[in-house]
Amino acid sequence: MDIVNVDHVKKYFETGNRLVKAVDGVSLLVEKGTFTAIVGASGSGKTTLLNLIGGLYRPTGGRIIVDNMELSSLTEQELTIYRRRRVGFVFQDCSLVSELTVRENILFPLALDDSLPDPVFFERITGALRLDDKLDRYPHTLSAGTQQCAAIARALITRPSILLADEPTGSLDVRTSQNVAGLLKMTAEMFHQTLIMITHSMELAQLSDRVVRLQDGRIV
Amino acid sequence: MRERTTKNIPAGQLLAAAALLLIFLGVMWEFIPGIWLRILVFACGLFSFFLVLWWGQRIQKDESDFAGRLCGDIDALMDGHEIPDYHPYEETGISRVRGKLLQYDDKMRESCGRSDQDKQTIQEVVSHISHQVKTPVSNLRMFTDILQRRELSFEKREQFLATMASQVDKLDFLMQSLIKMSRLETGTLTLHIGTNGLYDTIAKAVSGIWAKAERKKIEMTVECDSRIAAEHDPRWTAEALENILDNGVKYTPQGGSIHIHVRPWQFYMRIDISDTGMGIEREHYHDVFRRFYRGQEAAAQEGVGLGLYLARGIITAQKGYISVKSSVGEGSTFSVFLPE
Repeated sequence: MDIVNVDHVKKYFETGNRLVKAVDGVSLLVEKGTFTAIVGASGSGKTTLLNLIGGLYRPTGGRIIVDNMELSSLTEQELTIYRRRRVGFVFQDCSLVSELTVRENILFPLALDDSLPDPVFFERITGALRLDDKLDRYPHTLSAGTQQCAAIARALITRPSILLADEPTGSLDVRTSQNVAGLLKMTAEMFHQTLIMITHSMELAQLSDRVVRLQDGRIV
Repeated sequence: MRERTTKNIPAGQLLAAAALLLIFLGVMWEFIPGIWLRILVFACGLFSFFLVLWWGQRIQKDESDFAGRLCGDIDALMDGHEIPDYHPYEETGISRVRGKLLQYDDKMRESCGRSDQDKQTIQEVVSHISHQVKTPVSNLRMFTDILQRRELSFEKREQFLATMASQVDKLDFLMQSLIKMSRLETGTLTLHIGTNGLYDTIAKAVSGIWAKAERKKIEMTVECDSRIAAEHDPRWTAEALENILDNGVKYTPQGGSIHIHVRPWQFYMRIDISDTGMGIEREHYHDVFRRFYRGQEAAAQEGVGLGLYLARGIITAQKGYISVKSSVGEGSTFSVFLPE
């Protein structure tokens, strides 16, 4: 079953009197529970495509259907709720809140949605990501790899429909990158998540079930 | 939406509230001067009482409506219908709960769908294996027929018997592969994972491939501290590593080399298996782990394209993973990551 249907999607940006075609007619189906890697050079449209799927941008043309809901039919408020409930984001800079402990950072998305955490599920996630003995520590006391693991846990805690990772290992060294990518893959499989990851590394991309190459805003 | 009647506030609670109000008013009456002021206080007290009463009833009605809608939604899902009037991205409690209900329903349907998929996968696997088995069975039949009917020289007889023996080995290998693959595909592979030394596991894998490597004069070296341990099942991991090594030996020319290097890698133990073989093109990194995949260059070699597929399945089942890096014409490095 396809959970993401990108149908001839375009995203153009106007910069001054220039029109930048960041995504130019991309069609893509993502099967539920799979791991898709999107690769391409800088400026190929990878992040724009991911942001379109995540509801951070509205397409200039075409349709994006996630979990049977066409995103362009949603109001701004509904898109906010969609991102909160249906999408887990993992960014290159893990964006943890420095004033909160690891536990508080992980549970933050639930607090935004007035939901209570399932303690068993919380334990499973933090165990899988090797965070169980670091929950009461602050982000600045952790290594970059562990911080990114906390960001992954935060993305998973709401049981999103899709997990979007934009160069999650981009600011990590080679060793930590492989470890974090491996843990991301393992937890996505463990919790039957659909994972779409942007990476410029073919070595990491091959961990996926499928590799999609973008060039100049199109799939090649 | 199913309508439900409101629940009546129990009579006892009502009487208690009324009594408290009267006591309060009685006490206040003693201290408030002037008849009009007393009437005003009494009216305010009465108003507050009815306001609280109404509010309590309102909350109970809302709760009842909420429960009623949820029951209707569950009924719709049990009957296989869509939830009517569902707006997934509203800032309401009912929308949140319905969203979770649908997620749960999806998960349950997925589990049912998975067992159908498992059956289909097994059918495909059996079909492919039976196709592979046809050739050795036909060969065996042919050689048996020849041996039974014809007078053959001793050398010819020995040659045919040797060929038959290799066909039997191939059949045995195919059957074993079928069993392992079906266990992997259906998740019934029994792993005994514990903290075990990697040195012994690697030694077991190497011993299984040593003879083949010797025949091709391929040098095999291992760099592994005997103290290094990882979370794994020694028996199955040795099998996975042996499959990778077998691949390396198969596609490395005479006089080549295979080097195994084990080192800690933060959350994992990393096992690199590097060969000086023909290499793999980048666009096929993914393909080599697919079931029954054999590259064009591999056509001349024996095999059915299951070794790396099984290796990945075994390692993934242990919460590890495998990656590959290669240079065509120079060799490949398969990296196996096992949880530390």
